[in-house]
Amino acid sequence: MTLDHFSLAIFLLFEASRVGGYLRRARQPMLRGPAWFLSVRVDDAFHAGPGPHILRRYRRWIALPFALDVVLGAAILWSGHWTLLNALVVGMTVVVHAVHALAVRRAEREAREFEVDGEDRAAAAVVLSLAPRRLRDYANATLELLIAVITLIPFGWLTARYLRDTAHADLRMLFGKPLLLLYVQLGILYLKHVVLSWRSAARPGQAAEQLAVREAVRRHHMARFDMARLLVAFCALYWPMIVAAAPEERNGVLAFWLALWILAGLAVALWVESQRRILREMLARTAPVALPEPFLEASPRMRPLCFEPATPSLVIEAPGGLSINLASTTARWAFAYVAGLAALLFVVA
Amino acid sequence: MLLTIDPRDSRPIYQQVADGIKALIAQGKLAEGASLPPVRQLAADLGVNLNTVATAYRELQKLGLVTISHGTGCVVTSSRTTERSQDQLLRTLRAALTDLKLSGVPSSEIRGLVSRELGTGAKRRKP
Repeated sequence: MTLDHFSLAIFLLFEASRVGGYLRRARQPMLRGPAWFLSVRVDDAFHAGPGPHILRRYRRWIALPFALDVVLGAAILWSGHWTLLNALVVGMTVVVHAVHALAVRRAEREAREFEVDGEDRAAAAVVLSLAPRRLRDYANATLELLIAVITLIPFGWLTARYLRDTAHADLRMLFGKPLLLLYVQLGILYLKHVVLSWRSAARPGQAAEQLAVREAVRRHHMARFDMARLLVAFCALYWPMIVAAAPEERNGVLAFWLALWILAGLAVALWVESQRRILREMLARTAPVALPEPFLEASPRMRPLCFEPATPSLVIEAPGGLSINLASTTARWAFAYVAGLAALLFVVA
Repeated sequence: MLLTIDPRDSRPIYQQVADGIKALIAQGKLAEGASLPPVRQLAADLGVNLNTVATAYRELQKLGLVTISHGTGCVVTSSRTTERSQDQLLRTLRAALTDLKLSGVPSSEIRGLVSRELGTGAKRRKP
């Protein structure tokens, strides 16, 4: 098995997992039974009238990314640069989530015209927890120690090898790949920070339950990211073995590791699916929370980007749509991360 | 430890945040040494500007209920305010009672309200 074959295998597994993801998202509007459409309370007249049409349109929207990756995937396969499929998988992960978020927003906006017992969202009270949220509250000390040890092993081994033969060793070749994988770990830590800053508020009445569900979802994502960090740290172990192996043995070592990664990835995917089922049951039991941005002193005009240093949110809801706040800490870290990645690729490539 | 903010309330948001935290301290739900969420977290959860929450925290600091430091954030340091004398507080209470009477709330209901407020506080403070 070569890196090309590995990339193709990962792409095919990704596509297979997306079918399950699509079916899950397609059922999402009806998760809480016929009384709700996403977070909008509806009645039988909605299901007999505009409901099916809105639902069909929502399902068409979330199916759109399939068309995109079939075309791009075919183009990459035809070009022969199969390792680009890895970049396609990462890119499509972002696109799938973004398109889903937009489709949900659009469908809710359409359904809200037929809402029953609708409340004045801007005027309704909100309840929030005063418990501080810090990254360390979502960290498992044993897991962190394990990740640190696994991360240090390749660097320790490669440093020792470099020191043994400084004259002939190539620093970029030795440390490039482990450094990139370490940077990926940093990126996952950034995602944990994003999840930490998710808005967590509820409506009076079912506030405790709604906040508990929100917290359970946050913990689920934090655990997923920790698993991903462990997998990435584990991935880096392959490189010292490749460096140490004789040239004729390298393909065999690589094939062994690629098979191991796929198995580990499948195990994590199964665990994530079992956790999702528990969360879905919790979500179905609680009424949804549709929180507006009611208290902003000055709402930005509708535009895709804005710069509001006094507002901590990454996404601001303006009267005409969403606006990404470039002044938020989350946005600034994202820019710093992308710039750092570009610099690292330039140095190690 | 839940805080409720109501946009229909005539008080500004920062005042509601400060009053809500004051009530939780008075009821003993926020004990001395308890950390309050960072300004950024509370502002993001509420969907308000950072200054709104920072103003509420400064007001609590002025009353001597919390201390704000760069490393530890906002921490509850006392369950008693230091800013106003007993005379001033009694004047506020008398004014509030007068307002209630003038707005037609019966005396028995006012008594019930006061004992409910005191009862909750006393119960929470016991341990």
